[in-house]
Amino acid sequence: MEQEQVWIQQALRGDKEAFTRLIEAYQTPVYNLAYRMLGNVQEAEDAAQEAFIRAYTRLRTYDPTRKFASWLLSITSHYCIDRLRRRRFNLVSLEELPPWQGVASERPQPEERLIENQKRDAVQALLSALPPHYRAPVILRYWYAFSYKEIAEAMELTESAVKSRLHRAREMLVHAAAQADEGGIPIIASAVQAARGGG
Amino acid sequence: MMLKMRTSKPCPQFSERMSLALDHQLSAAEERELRDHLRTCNACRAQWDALQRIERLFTSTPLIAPPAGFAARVSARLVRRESRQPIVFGVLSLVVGTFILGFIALASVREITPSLYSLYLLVTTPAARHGLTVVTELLSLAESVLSALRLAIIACVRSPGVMVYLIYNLTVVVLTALWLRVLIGRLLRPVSVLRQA
Repeated sequence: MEQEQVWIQQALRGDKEAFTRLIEAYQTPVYNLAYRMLGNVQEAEDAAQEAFIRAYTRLRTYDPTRKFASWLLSITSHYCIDRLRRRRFNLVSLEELPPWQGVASERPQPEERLIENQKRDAVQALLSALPPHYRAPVILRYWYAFSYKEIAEAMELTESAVKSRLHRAREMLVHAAAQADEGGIPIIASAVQAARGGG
Repeated sequence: MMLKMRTSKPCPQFSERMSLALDHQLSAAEERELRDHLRTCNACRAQWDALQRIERLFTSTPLIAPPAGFAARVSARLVRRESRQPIVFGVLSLVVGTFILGFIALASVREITPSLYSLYLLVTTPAARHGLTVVTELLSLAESVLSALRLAIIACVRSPGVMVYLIYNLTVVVLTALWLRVLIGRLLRPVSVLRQA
């Protein structure tokens, strides 16, 4: 039996230490998904914590034939989508704040760091242009290399729905990038820079 | 202009195909067809370039790790969450359990429902009175069940002797004692958990 399955069995018997091992193993994927979905560090921390707590309380429903990471990320994405839907009804919405200003530090930074921050902010600015149920498949596709089948399982969709959501989401991303470009916001410049740096 | 990403709408029949191409879902023939089309259609090529730029931006951005001490903060939150549940459960069970036990014990002695009618004097708002009526009706329903039991007990007391009545009351006392034991255990556990934490 894999170490992960041993931890799960121990956590099921109420062993909190074993569950802590699972948190340590999966904290980065879960936190990253929450951050990409919500766009700011405070909410990402809170949502990632809540996702792990939900996983602990629902551990009995976990099907060991599935990948534990997929199950955990499924809980995280559902929770973040709910949270974003609730956010729409709040009077002061964090989404109204431009994320590329909300995230970047204002202190003077070395050039490399600055480029990294620009890239990160460009990514968040683009992702925030997507409705929550389009944002999640895009994040699962790009940051977790999930297949259509895995996205479909995580989001309780059919594979053809995933296909069409990714297609629609990509159209929206191109549109958002073009709009930002026309509005003089340097998202595209960052994208081009990133493309040069990455390619 | 170099940064201009789209001049006009891409062709609908190739729009979804571009998305599929990015996910490596096209057959060799479909891919060749798309490439041929991109050579001749400016709108689709602009869309394809934009899609690829976004793809490169996303795939070159690494996963973000949480701030240090994340696992410890989740564990602490889990302990807090679990310790709160027994308190809520404890208080709820205290109220419900005491009520049910008291009802069972008293039902063998006297009628309880009529005493609730005196509460009508204290309650003035129509909504509260309606609530009280519902409670009273539920109680009298439960009491009719219990009065059958009471009559049975009284019949037993009259014929075979006082023993049955005593056994009944003893059962109530034992149930109450067991109940209090469970309750005290539940209420004290969170305190010990918090001490350990």
